[in-house]
Amino acid sequence: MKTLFVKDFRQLWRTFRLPALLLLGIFFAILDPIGAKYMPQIMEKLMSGTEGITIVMPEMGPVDAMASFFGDLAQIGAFILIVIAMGAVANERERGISAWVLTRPVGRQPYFWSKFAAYTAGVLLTVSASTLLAALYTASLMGAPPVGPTIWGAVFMVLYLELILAITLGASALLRGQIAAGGAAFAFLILLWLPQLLVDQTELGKYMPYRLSSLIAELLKGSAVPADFLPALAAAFIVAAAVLAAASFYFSRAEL
Amino acid sequence: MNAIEIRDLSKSFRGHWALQEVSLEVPRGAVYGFLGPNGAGKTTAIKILMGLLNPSGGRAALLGEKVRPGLSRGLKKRIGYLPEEPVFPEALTGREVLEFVGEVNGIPVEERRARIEQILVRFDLAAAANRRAAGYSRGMRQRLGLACVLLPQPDFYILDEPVSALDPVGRLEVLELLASLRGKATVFFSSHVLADVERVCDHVAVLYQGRLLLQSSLESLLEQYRLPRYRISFREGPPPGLAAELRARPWARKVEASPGWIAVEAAPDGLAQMQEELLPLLAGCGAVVTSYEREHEDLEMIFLKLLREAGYGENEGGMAGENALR
Repeated sequence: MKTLFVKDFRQLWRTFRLPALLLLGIFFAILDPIGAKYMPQIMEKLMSGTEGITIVMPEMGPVDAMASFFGDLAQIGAFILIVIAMGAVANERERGISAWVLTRPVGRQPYFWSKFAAYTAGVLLTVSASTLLAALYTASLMGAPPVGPTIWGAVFMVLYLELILAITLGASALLRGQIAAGGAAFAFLILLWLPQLLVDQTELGKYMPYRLSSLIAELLKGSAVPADFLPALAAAFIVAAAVLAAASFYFSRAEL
Repeated sequence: MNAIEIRDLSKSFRGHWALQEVSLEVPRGAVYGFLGPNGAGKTTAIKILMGLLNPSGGRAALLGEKVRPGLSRGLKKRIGYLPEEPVFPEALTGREVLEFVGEVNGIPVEERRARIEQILVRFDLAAAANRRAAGYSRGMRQRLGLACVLLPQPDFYILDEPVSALDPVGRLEVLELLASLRGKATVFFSSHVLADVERVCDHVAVLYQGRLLLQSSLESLLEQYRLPRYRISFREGPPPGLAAELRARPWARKVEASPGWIAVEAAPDGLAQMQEELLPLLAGCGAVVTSYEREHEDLEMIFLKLLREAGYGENEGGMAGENALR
């Protein structure tokens, strides 16, 4: 498993998939604090020549900068994660690489789970490095964001992205072709967010996995505590485990 | 116990039968040639053996272990498999591919490094070892694939067209290598090049349209297809008058003479008499005979005969069909 993990992580790095995710995280870690700090001034300058219109921008602080950063990771980060992970198994199957690897003394389960582990390491690295950078940069521009909620925010962001990763890798193992896998993962992402319009304020809303990311802003503002994430976390875990188990079971018997 | 045992193996792809009730046994220690024209089902059979495809019917066993999707790790450690067109994990260099193979086979670090250096030199890949394998030419990929197969020194090799992308020198070296494994390991390989198979194999099987036409030891196959024709070579050329004397015999149908040899073909039902009289005749002529052998069909001719008997070329159209075999 260690050999497979090293191979998969090396491939992730050298094929620029992991650097792309990491650069995206760094981009938001720099852009969002700047945006929070200077957006009011920018808007004021833009509107300075316009008479009769008054735009009141709310005062932005470190919490807003971090909330904006996590929000971008949850949306654009999830999108990019799907793009880079959709071929993890499907592309190797299409090209015959998985057949080559799996005719060496390598089990199909370790082959599948090492990919999940390598991408998980990539997600962990991206979220932790970019959160640290965002927090430090925010502190230098506007004052320190709250440490505890920021750390919890990063933890829940990792878990949210892990759900996206589980669905994408599952689709990649279950479907023939990386485009189909990517399409299925995007469809799931849309399905994941649709209930926000319908059940967000209901009891059922608590169990919706999207709350792993949407609650982070409230956590930073102090209007939510980590325990509020538990129902959504449990639901996300069940969905991810079911998809991964189905994919792993199917892949262990699939024709390559 | 045989290295490969296949019983009534069938495989269908959406109604098309790629394999139909194939039964085959490969003895341990054999160098076994698996022949057939394009689309005969060779690669399908090999993929089933390697647990990459699920059979539609029948069963197969490798080294006594039943074949199922995803062979056991223990069995895979004993098998070196080369696919028809080897592809390697993307972004890894040739050396890293070999290191990966060595690691998953559990070869200790020091031994692994030494073996990798040796095998890189042996397969002329040392200069390209630190380049990504994805950028290798087809011949280099085949050499790297063979290096990966040989690195763990397994006792069973399953090779799908192992020399198809190699230049003549590389091809000869690999064939010699395969021949050198006889008795030490089992080699099962598919090939279109019948001269290669004839050179190194001791057993052959012929597959056509998913059906097994023949399996036999090469020796008994060639014996079966022996011609009623002897070729005699002389140190100083055939003695004058010998060809005419042979032509006069009732058992000789055709005599061919050249500066170094004479070939005599027996008339129908004349073979036994020819065998009785030819040697005493040669002994009496006073010339020094350097070789005396009965000729046989070469494997290519036997292969073509078998395929024609099975209906090959009827739809493909004459030479086009034959050329596809070469």
